[in-house]
Amino acid sequence: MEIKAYHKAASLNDAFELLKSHPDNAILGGGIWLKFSKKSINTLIDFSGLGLNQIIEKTDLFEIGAMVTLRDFEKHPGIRTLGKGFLSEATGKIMGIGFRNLATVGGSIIGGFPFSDFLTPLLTTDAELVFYPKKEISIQEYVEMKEKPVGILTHIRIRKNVNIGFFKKVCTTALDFAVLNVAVAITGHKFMIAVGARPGTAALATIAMNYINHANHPDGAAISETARIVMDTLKFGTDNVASEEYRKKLAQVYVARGLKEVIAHEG
Amino acid sequence: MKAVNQKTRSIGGKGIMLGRPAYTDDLAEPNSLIIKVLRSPHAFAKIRTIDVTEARALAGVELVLTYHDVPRKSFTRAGQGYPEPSPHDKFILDEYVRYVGDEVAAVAAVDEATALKALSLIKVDYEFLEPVLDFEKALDNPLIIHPEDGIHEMFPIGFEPKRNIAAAYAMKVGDVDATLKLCDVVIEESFYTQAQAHSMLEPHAVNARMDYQNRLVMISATQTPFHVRRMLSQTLDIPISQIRVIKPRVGGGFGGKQALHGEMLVAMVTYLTKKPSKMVYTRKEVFESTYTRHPMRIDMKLGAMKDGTLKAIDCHVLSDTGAYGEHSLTVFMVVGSKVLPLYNKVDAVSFYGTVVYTNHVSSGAFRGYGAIQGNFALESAIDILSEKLGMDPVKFRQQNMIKEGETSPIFRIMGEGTEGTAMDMDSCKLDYCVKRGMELINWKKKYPRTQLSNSLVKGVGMAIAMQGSGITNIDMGAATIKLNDDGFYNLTVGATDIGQGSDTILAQIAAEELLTTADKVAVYSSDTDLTPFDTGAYASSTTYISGNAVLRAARSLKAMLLEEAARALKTEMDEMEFDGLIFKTKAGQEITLSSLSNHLTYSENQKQLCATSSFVGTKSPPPFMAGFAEVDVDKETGEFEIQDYVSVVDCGTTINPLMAKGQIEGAITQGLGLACFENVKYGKKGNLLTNGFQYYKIPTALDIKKLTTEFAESYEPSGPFGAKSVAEIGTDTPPAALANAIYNAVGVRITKLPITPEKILNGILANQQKEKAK
Amino acid sequence: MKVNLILNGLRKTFEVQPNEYLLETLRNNHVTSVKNGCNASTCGSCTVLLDGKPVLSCSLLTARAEGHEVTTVEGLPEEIGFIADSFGAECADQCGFCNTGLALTVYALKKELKNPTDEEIKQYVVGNLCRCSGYQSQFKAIKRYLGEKR
Repeated sequence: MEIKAYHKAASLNDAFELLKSHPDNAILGGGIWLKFSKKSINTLIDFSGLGLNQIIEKTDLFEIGAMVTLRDFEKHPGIRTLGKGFLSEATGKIMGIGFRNLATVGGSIIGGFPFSDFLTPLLTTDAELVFYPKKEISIQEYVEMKEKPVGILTHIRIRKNVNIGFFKKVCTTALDFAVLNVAVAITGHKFMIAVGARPGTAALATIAMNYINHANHPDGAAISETARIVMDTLKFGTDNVASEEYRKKLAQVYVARGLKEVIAHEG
Repeated sequence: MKAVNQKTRSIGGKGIMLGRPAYTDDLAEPNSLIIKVLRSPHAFAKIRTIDVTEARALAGVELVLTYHDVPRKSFTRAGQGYPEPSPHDKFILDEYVRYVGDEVAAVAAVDEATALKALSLIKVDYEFLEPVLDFEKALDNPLIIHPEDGIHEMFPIGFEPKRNIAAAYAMKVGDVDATLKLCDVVIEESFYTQAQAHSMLEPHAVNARMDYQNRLVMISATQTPFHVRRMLSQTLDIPISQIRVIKPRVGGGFGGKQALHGEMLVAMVTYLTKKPSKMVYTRKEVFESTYTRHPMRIDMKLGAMKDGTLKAIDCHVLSDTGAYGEHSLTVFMVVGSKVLPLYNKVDAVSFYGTVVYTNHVSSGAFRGYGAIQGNFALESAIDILSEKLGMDPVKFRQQNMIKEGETSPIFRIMGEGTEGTAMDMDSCKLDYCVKRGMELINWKKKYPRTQLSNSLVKGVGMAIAMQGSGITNIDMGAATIKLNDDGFYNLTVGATDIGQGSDTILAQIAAEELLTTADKVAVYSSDTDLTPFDTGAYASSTTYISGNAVLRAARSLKAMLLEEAARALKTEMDEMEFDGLIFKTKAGQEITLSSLSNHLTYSENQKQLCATSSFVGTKSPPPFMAGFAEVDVDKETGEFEIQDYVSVVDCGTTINPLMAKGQIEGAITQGLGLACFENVKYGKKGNLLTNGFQYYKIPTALDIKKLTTEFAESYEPSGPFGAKSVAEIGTDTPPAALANAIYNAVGVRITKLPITPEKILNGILANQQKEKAK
Repeated sequence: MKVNLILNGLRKTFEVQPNEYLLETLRNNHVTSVKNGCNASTCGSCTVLLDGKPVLSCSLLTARAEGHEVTTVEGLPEEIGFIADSFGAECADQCGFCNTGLALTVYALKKELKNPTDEEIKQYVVGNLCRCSGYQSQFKAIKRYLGEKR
């Protein structure tokens, strides 16, 4: 992978203008997997000197700079309280420490990796992406977009209204990509369910969520039915790693287990 | 014992961790030409034309080699004694390419960027040929993988390339068919073992230079420096006296560095250009273009009587050697020779099979070397048989397994590529290993299963195994010990330390015999000029063969020391005592070793005391072990967690108990890798999909929860201080032990590796359907 | 392009390509302790410390390290020596190829985590693959080192 030039941006505007100026210009996130890209890069824009590696706690949300490393995100005492730590725990299962000290939260989102253990639980929260120039989109809306926004992701805002979350990564060894990952949370008093590595990118199980959020009592029968709806309404597939059938079964089991766990916690 | 059976720390460990240059690529000449290889994108093709004009013309390119530019002389890359029991079916570069990743051309350039650019300028017109990608369809397939002239076997090994056969073998004891007819219970099952990638952390690397004596000096990450030297000489027609091969620190081998990798091309480049050159494999090349374990299908038939006596074993093997036949015959034969004797009291055995070519990555040596594949089949089958007999699987084994003092006709019949050697089990503590293992895992309480919750169930399973200690009458190791001024020793051995600690344990053996401590013995190994011969690190030979050579050399040197000390003290040898540091006469005179050595070096009766001894094994005493797996299975998803793996091992005396434990634990982990974590996958076009650690998952620190390892009190009289080898035995039991544990937990019998959650869940669901149908 | 960084306490300027990773730069400049195991962010053998934190040098563009502190084992001989002593005592060092990367991770672990649980220790070093040891002896060595008071 060729890189013709390397530029350290002096400001967001500087970075954005440069990004716009050539179709093969790109923003440098963690840069870990850049070498696997077959594309050539004209100018690689390093915007790491612009203070976007901070996590700021506000009254009812956390504002996380796009250049915050996965490790800093995972360790942050405030982030650890979100959903009783399920975001932190999920992030901590990504690769090893040498990887997470380089990979950035921004890169994890823009990368759009189908197996992302960062994205799946994030989808079950009230999270918003902030782009430069000014554009704010909910994470749920972002994953649905066919054409991703032009601009630079500068921050992720996560509201504190996620009381409890559950995350499961099904994989072979501890350094594996997920065969399937499942997140269940109670956010703003609503159940949120997301499934990733289907093998497709993480998706919110909206029809299933609708069902259980309107159920009179989220009892065992309702939970089973919700899990069944996830199986039927989300798209699963077969690849080298697992079959469609198996992924469906896993989703069914773990959505049910996740719902039971978050409900038990809520009391 | 003062030096042996001590937890001596490794000789090189601290220096390595402090970052001192030690591995092959650390020692390359700074201005080495960089060699890059153009590799085939096709599983099977013929090169119609190859045009390297542009590549040759590129500034900075020194040499481009195609099959037109290299000697047309077939050889085998297998790291084995000469004449090799592997077919000579490889050319340095050929007009046929036989697997995705096979060598097409080589470029040597001033730097990597230029070399890679030159590769992109090479124009190849391939004639695409239909590949053979299913080893069960390879035999007598009209598509022939080795149609070329000039290939041959060195002696009869059943080589029939026109039928896609690399090797074949058959043996029998008694009449299996007749015996099976008399049996009360017969079971029959086919087992499949997958390929496996060695995944040593150091990628293959080689570098070369012409030294100031105009000799070709190679540094290679190899397990077999002496074989490398011979093969280079024979194939490139360079006098063997003009070649020196040095093995430096190696970052793991496990058999994957036993055969040639980049040595041939690097040697050619340096010999032709007279410039230093180097080649370091990328991890992708290590996966795609070195070697893998032989995938096999093993059809096992066992017959027994109601009283639990095992009467007959019929074992048929089909082995996939991939594109080239390195180690084809010998790995296949070990499936029988180092597995079937476990049940030595049967009336009849039939062991036979074929090793076929396919257009897959070439299979080769890998720790266990057929014994792990055979063990999976046999030890799974034994559990199946026990269940049909209504017998406890441990009791069945205890009734039928080999015991100390016994023998098996298989030892006499089967060697490694040749006839074998009869031997009695002078040391065999298998009965203790089984009993102690049961205690350690708490078998009585946990067998067959315990329900942990609604969805979680715990199961235990076990397997027994044997291996060998070197190749009888073939493997030779030698050692030289010399005395230095101030009374320390230099031990030089051909034996190849690839991380298993042989330098250290051989120093311990020498020290024990010389009545001193290992720190007084400086070790240098594996240099074809400076160290005596050794076949290399394979067949679990180092402790037993090289160790015995060291012991003999130490004994010789000690005798010389006593002779010189007696002369110095003007007395008779039998009037003297030596404690490793001081020689004392009964009359009370004494001289220190340090003093004596200084006199011998500088002032009196000056001579260099030096002893060289060799050893060839007349038997290959097997180490034994019992392996027990404890696994928790989630019945709703098929996921499982291995909670503990218990190993009780009989390897005779442990020269270094902590290093021996490390060998077992590392081998168990690799065995578990084959059993369930690792999964080799090919695409439809024969391309290896799992060609990186992101796709091919070797176990991590979190996956190996607990290993419990103990050694039996045992003593092998023919081994150095009672030792047998311990390098490979650990790999053998995990696949069967795990498969048996899973079966005991959830009633699902996996016969095709790897064991995966999806397969387990499918089995559970299938069982549930069967129950419903009833 | 020129990149300035501090390597083992000394200011260094390297002439690099924009697409060059730190692993290559270091090995080309005789820092052979940093190992190339996979060059694909998957094995941990190339681990170095960046401002004291363990990072995969095969995954860090050298240009991105401008102005930062890079530490390899050569820069911490005393402490790495203690880690090596612990590994030696447990015979946890077999082929040694993963050891330099692992040692730096262990060094960082001792600085970063106070009283870690066994699970936290394993989680911290999980990215340093080892094919030789089966991890048990390495774990014992790490505990030994963490338990030492100096």
